[in-house]
Amino acid sequence: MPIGPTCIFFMNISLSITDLPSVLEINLVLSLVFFILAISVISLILYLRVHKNISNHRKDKLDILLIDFINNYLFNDDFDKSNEMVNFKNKHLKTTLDKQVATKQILVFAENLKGESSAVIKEIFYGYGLYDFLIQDLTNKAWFRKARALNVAYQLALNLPSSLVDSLINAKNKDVRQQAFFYFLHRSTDNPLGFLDKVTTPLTLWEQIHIENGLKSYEGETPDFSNWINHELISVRVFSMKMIADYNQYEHTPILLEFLNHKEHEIRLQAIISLRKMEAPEMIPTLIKKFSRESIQIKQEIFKTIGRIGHVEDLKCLAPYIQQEDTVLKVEYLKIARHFNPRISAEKIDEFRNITL
Amino acid sequence: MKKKILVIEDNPMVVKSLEFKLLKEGYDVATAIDGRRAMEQLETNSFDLILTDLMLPFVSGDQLIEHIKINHPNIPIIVLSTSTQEDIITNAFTMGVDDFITKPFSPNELALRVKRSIGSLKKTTNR
Amino acid sequence: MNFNLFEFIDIASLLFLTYGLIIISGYIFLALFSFLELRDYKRKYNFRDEVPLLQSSHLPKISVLAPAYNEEANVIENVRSLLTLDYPSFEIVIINDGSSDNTLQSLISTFDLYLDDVLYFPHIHTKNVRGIYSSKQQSYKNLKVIDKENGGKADALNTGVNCCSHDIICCIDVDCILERDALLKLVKPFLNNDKKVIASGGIIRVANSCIIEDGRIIEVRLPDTFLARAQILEYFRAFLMGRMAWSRVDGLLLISGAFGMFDKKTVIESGGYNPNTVGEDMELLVRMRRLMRDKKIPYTVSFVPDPLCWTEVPQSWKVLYRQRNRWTRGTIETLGLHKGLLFNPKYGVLGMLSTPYWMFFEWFAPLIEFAGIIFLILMFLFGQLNLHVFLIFFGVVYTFSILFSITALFFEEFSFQQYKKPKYMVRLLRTAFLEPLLYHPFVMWAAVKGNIDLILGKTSWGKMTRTGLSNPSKTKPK
Repeated sequence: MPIGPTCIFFMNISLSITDLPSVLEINLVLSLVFFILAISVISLILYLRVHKNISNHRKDKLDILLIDFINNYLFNDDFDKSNEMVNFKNKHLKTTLDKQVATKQILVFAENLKGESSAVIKEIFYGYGLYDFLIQDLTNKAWFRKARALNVAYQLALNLPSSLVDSLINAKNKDVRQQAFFYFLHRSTDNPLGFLDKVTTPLTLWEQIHIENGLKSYEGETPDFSNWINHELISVRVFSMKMIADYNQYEHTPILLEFLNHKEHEIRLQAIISLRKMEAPEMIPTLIKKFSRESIQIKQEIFKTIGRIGHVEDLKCLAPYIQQEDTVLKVEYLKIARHFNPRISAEKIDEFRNITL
Repeated sequence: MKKKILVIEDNPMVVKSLEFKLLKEGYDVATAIDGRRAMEQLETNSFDLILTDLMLPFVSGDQLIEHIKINHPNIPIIVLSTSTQEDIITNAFTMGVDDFITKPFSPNELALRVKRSIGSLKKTTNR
Repeated sequence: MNFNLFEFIDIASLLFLTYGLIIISGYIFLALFSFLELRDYKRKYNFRDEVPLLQSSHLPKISVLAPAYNEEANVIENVRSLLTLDYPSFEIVIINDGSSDNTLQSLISTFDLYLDDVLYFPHIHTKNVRGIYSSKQQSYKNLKVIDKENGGKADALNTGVNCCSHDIICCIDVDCILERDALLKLVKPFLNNDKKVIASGGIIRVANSCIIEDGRIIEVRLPDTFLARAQILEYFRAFLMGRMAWSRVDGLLLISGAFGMFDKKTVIESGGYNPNTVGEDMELLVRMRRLMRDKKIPYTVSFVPDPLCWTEVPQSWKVLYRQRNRWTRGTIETLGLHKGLLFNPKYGVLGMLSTPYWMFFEWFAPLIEFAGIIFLILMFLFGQLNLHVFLIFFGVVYTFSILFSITALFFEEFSFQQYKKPKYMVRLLRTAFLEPLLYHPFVMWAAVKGNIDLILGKTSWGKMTRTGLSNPSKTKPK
């Protein structure tokens, strides 16, 4: 890459012939500027190194103190909690970095301990005055500080003033939005997915997976996912259909069956996948009926469904609808045909191909 | 005499907490932050219980458990792991561990289960 | 005669001046955008929220495609390491591209393979497939080995695309070392984007001299040879400054053949890898971008700066020469095949920034530099060269070169800081000072020779592509 500079060299050397003195001067100045810049970047690198080392050292030292303090607070009955807390706070938690380190360490504790310790860990968080620090982050303009505050709040199960967090569900920055989702999901006592009602930006697959994951640790009653099956965002509808299948909410099978005729492609597609997971063979007649008018993607899903929960006769019903030129579909068809009859050899497959198509 | 426990865990916070809690409960505690160091400890000391994570640097938890089962078959083992996957837990029990505790854990409950497992050792050695 | 010479010098000077200005401003923008992109990435990286996702059943399945040509020495170890990647659902597809050694046999015996009668649709035309193998053992159930006639890397990858089962493909060089979470990190952009993601690429790191155990990097070390260290600097400049910046403006033209993830449908729709070019990785991405733009579907190409993929770079001048010669030909061929993009406002960033950049910075730069050297010699012959002046100008260029390298080093320090020992930093700085004098002229010459070879060997393109796979290093950092 540093070919460019060499060219400047030639450009200058040629200029020199026409206008020697001033060009020389400019070049001397330029080399000096580049040189000084190079030296300053080197010093910057050194500074970064030293700075990182110092702050890491400081962090390591503080971490040891923190772990020791928190352990005493948690397990030592002879520990003078209130006095020691004030001492520690005044002595060790002065800078922003200190507070960040303390927050992180408390998160590590919260992540590893549960039961009676969880409440004590929260008590320490408040005792250190880190809640105010968190609110500062939350009200800060920078997106990453907002996101961080939300992240800490849901991991430690802290309640934040709703005036500050409600609007963040539809924040412009994606990371803030996502952390807000998780905050509401984890903080809710009776309606973990209630925030979906207010969501106005499509849910990415990443977010869906995180929400799914968050639901696993939700201790209350599993929500009725059909509540969001008519949400205005297709991604939310698709998500609730996935969840209906994952949580085996069979009572909603009729709605899913209806969705096989939905006008949105994505919804028909997910309806098939969800119903297949719930092993609902009653959808197969509809699938066969609609087969010829579906997209190739849905056709492939239909094959898969028949392979999973249908019969070889169902498959044969579809053969007439496969166009001669639809070679991709033929291969898919034959895959399922072989699934039903694994002993078909390669030649037999060819025969099968001739009979059915 | 105090019962001696070896704690093998690579997260410094968890090590410290376990050490603290178990010392408070009246045990003697040694710690190792990876599989290799755990092996060294096992060579030089005798223990009444081993508390180990499964995801360890250098020597994995599985390898370590196998090693312990062959060389020190009488020491009870408790696994402390973030994994909640069925197959990993089953696998651990097939290898002969005495108990499986998932993270996050409750320190009091852990202390109880440690007590129970150490008790079981006493019985087998007395017989 | 003399008068004409001065006129010539005047014109040449003007050209060099313009070019120099374009290049300087280009570099400044690269540095600026890279910095912003890295900063944002670092801030996001704080959450490290990938791990719980490993338990989800809704993650898309991935097919990892790795062509192998005469890799019998390492293929077994490499496959073992690939099989232990952290991802809930993926398959490894090894494509044996008509190796003349025992690559296939050792795979068959080690992994207990049998000839599996897999049905697939040949979306892309390829050389004949001799057979597809699966393992009898449950523990290797996600391994597939395709045996085919030799057709070069592009053809091998196309066969993989045809035969693999999943919708997201990850194309890698079989000899590179992937971090455990590589698939997870690289797939994230596909899942977390408002626009359709057609591809995502990662940084290539230099594995020479690193300590490797069981196919994992245990300790990152700085290479002992100057040649490898110079390439480290080059990769820093290319990835941390180049690609990061291009990713910010969504103008990436190249995802290294050594490590990239693609949307299979788009790959198939755009016709797969082009077996007639030596720059198949770049050519494919350009064609995919073009297709999306022509179809007016909003899309993006993503770049993940985490160190995820490690590879050995050439340790000998000869191999390096061949590699750079090939890269140059690949670049020119791609630009030639897609000249319709150049300065075409219809293609936005792609037409107005990316392709012109590649033309000026990657293709022309070595040529212009070479012309400059000829120019210098001419001036010397005509007695126009003043040693004093020469030294001053040389100083400008030299200081700018090291400034650029050092800025790249700063980005490394700022972002991932893989070379933790202070003595590594010192050695890298020393390399930065020596590299423009000892390494750069050689690379420039290899590129110039690539141009010459392309012109001379135009008729024998096909023949040249066959050597693609046997060439030791296939990663392209430019």
